[in-house]
Amino acid sequence: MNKLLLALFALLLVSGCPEEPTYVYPIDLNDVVYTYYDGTEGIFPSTSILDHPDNPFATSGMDNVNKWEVESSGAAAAAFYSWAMINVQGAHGEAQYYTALNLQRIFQRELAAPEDLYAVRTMAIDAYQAVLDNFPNDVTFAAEGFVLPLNLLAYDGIVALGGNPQGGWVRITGDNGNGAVVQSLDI
Amino acid sequence: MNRSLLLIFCSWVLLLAAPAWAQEDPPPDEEPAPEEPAPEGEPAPAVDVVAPAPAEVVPAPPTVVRMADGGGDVVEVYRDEDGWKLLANGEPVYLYGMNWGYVPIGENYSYDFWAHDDEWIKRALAPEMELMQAMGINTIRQYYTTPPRWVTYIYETYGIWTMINHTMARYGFDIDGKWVPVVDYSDARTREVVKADVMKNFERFKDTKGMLFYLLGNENNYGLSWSSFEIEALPQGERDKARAVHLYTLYGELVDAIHAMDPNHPVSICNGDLQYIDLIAEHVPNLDIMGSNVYRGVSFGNLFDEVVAKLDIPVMFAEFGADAYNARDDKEDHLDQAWYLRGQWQEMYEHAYGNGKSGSALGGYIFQWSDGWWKTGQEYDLDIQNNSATWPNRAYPLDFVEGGNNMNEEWFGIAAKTPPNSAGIYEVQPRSAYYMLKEAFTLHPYEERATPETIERHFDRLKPIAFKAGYQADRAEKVLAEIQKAVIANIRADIGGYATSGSYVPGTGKEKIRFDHTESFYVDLKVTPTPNFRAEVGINVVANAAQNRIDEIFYEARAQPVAVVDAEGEERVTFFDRVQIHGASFQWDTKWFELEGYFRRGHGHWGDDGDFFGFYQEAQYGPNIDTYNANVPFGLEFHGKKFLEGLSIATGPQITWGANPTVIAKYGRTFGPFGFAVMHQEDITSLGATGATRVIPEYVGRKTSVYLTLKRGPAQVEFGGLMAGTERLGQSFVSVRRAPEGAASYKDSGYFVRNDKVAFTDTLGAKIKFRLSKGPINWWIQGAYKGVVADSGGDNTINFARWSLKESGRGNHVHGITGVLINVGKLSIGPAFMYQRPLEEAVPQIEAGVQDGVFWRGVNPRNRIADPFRVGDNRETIAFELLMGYDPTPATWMWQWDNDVREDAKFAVSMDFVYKIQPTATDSNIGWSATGDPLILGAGQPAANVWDLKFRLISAATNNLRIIGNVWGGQAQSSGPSERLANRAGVDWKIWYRKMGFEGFLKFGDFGPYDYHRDFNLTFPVQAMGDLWVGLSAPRLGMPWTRLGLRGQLRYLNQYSNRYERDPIDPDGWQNEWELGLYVQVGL
Repeated sequence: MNKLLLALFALLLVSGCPEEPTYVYPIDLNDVVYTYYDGTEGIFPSTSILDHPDNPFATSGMDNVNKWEVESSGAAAAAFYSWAMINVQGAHGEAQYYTALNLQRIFQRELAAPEDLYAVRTMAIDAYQAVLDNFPNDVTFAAEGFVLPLNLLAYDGIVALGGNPQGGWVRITGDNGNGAVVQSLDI
Repeated sequence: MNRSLLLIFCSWVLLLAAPAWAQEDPPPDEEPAPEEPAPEGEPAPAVDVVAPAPAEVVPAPPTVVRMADGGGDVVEVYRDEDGWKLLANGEPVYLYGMNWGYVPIGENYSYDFWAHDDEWIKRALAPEMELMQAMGINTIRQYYTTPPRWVTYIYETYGIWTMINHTMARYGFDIDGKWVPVVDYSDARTREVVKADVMKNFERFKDTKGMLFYLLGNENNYGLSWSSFEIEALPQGERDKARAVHLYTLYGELVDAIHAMDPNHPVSICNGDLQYIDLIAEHVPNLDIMGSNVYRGVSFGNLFDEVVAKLDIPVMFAEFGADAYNARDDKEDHLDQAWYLRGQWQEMYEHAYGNGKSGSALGGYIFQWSDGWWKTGQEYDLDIQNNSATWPNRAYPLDFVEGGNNMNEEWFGIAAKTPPNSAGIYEVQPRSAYYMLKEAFTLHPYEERATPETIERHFDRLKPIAFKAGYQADRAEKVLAEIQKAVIANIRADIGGYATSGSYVPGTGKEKIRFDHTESFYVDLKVTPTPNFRAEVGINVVANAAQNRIDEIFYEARAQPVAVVDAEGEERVTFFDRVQIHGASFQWDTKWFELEGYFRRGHGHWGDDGDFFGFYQEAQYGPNIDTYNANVPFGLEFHGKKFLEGLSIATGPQITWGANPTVIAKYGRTFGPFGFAVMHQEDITSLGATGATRVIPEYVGRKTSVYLTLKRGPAQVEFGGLMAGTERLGQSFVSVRRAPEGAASYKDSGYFVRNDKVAFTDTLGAKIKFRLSKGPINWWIQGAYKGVVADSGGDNTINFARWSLKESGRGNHVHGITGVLINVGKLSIGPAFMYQRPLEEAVPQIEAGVQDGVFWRGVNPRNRIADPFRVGDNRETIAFELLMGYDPTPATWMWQWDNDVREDAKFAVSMDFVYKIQPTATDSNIGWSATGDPLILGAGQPAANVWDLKFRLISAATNNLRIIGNVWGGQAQSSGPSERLANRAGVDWKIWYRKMGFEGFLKFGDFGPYDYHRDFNLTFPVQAMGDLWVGLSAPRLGMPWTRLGLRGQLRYLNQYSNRYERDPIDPDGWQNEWELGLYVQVGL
């Protein structure tokens, strides 16, 4: 009997005391920090954003309502992760554009480690280029309600970062004075 | 009797002066004429069966051939002027003999009966010896390999003597280590070896009680010409006389040697008929009894007189008789066999002592007791009774055809033989000859009334046909038993035509009516190869499955046409699953274990045998396995006996619905008032999506439990410990805690949200139950704690009554249940109470959101697929139940599962009222679409109070009228997240009157018939069904049944019903669907 009790006690010791549960708290969007991962996160067709260790939305995902809430918070890093998750959950031009936009913001506001800033710039250019390559005809909507063609916004984004849009895209000005981009194949 | 006593007295007198009275054999005359050797196996050929002139019997003074001396029995040949008799210990023994052997079907000459253990031998001997004893048989022929103690056993138990036979190398012999198939009796070494073997083996019997006399050889004279062991047509004449001389000189030497070794027993030879009788006279002068195998048909002709004339010694037939097969008509004919034997025994009686003829017939050994299935071929077809005749014998004219054979070696038994049982013991079926000879032997040839006239009259009145009934009845019984080993137990055809329609069906008027039909056939086959092994299999074949039924899920629906696209891209219609195994099972009961296998056949639980936590659940799913076409349960169940007593094992691909392939082992014993059991369950792998039917497979894991119980008079306490779910150790889960009033909670939900992991303590559980039954009071109480992943099974046991409140089989809860059943006369009152609370409550649905610059991640209720546990039927519950029953005939228990057909009360009624307070929600359920796809049903069931009231009435009003009815009402909750409670009520009935019945139901606001109705909270304002049938008989549980019926069904649909399409003109109006079917069910 003594041996049995000793064995049971040993078993309990070996099993260890259970870990204390950890409370779940909300994420302060302004506390979200961007860290460079592999250079493809957030750029279609990469899904590496799901494995990004600092992605606060990796387990919970992001929905189409809260993405605007995050976007409007002004926290570029949080917005980047949010849009990158939307893009993985169902890729489309708007998600890719806003991913690129927030990468641009991260670069311009120096919200990444200094040694990563150049890479972030490259990622932003690549993200904009992904809009041109994969979602050339997608649009988004301004707050006022009018349509904004994403290919023009992407083109301008690349140029603003000092990049060179690929794929034969050319910026033109229409008769109404509005800008547009076309691919040289269309001429 | 007077004559017998006189003989005995005279014998003793003569014995005292034996030397003066002993006669010497006369010297041989000149060389006898050469004889043609008789062909092996056939009597002397071309013997004309003509009543010969009787040889003149020279009366001799009474002599006693043998002297009484030594131990054991004293057997001697007595002779006086009336002939010869055999005396055993002074008593005359007329040889009612039998060639007896025990060779089961499937065995041959190499079978060693005596190699079995004593118990088995006695079991096998008993029916054989008892039958022979009853017939009047008093001696059997046996080979020297029979152990002497069994000779004594047979004599002392059944009064049957044994004649011991050594075949003297008739069928080959081992000479100095070499097998010689046909021995040469002229070879000195051969003679020496054979002689030594005969003497060595006979000496073992010299003092054996029950041994009658010695017999040398077996038709050795027929074996002088052939090396083959097959019986063939005898060669003409006696071509091998030269070799025969050597044979008979050896006989002579052996007879003398045996006399010297054992003066208390006579010696005989077994000659093939009377071939070489002159050589016998010359070279075997001291032979006591002339033994022959004789197949001369119905009469022995001049045999007795010839033996007396040439040898002056009595005659004994070592073999004689007839086969029971008519080779000409190619059928069994036991009456012919009886006819021959009657004639043979009559002649033996006529030639017996003092009956007016030669007086030399000592009797004989009938060939043979039971059929020898090995005789033809000997090494093959041992399990077939060969009908071919292997040699001709015109002495048996009833089936002799010139040029053909008519002796059927495998049919010489006066009893037929059955296949052996699992112990290797068979039964015999005595033929007509047995019954006839039994009657014939009621006249003894030595008794005073046995005169030639009485003998003739006695045998003349024995007509074989009068004795056939016993054998025919026996055969019929055995044939029936064989047939019953494999029978078609049930044939059923379900044929129905259905007309249906509904508001949603396009068209107008009769265009809206759709018609279709279903034909479904069932065949059940049962086999019983041995009494302890039974198996059955049922097959269903669907010819057509209706596609218009309003209850769209049914068994035959699996065979509905399916559109497929072939390799060429063409769409075509095909059918699957038209033929299916409807179910199968087997039971094997040995002295070491019971083993049962099942496939779509239900099985019970082990809850009353130490399975305290319900590992091995009851699997009686009723019509659901057909409705949902589930191949469950499927597995094996083993229960040990003897030293394995207490060990049980269950295993299989799906032993209960949704179980993974698993093995469950239990070992339990009781010691007086104490009992214990240990159990372990180990899942082998996952059932997988393809194996599961409308169920999410369980976690692949293991469980272990220990159980202790103590019974003291009316009380019993049970305690159990459980460890389960260790495979989920370390898995993460979300848990919540209620936030105190006013505290900041997660997104103002009122909860704190936590991330947690499954720990070892979460796998543990314990339960204790106490039961007390004293007089009219029956009380039980139970409490349990089960860690969050310590899942086991539900409680299948019945605690005095069939209360609805039951513990959850899931982990993650604590509970306490108590109930008391009070019997007041014929009334039973049973209140019960249950409290149950989950350890980790359900996770509420909290939507993700951004508030004031912070992001709140969404929180979802747990579900069975993604989480290690969930809150379901282990939800927080405070429940009260009142069970009442009135049953004037308690022998048929009101709550028995088959009470519908078993209840014998004129009026019995029960009531069950359950009220449940469920103050908290559950986690998500898994629901099933109409096509059987699993769906996570969003949020869990909300908090709700529900109640249910049921009345059941049953009346076996008269022998011809039975009424069964249920009435219910209540407020029920859907399995899904719907807040709407179903306010439901209904009634169903079965009214059976003689061979007619009317069954049906009427429901209001109730769920539809399938699981998805409950999952998605689909109810119908009104559902009605009526089924009017007439049958060839009244329904009986489990018995095939034939009936014709008309069945109608009507449903009204509203906004809560599936298939409801809102009509803009009448947006709140009800719609409907209906079905009318005519069906016939034919059962055999």
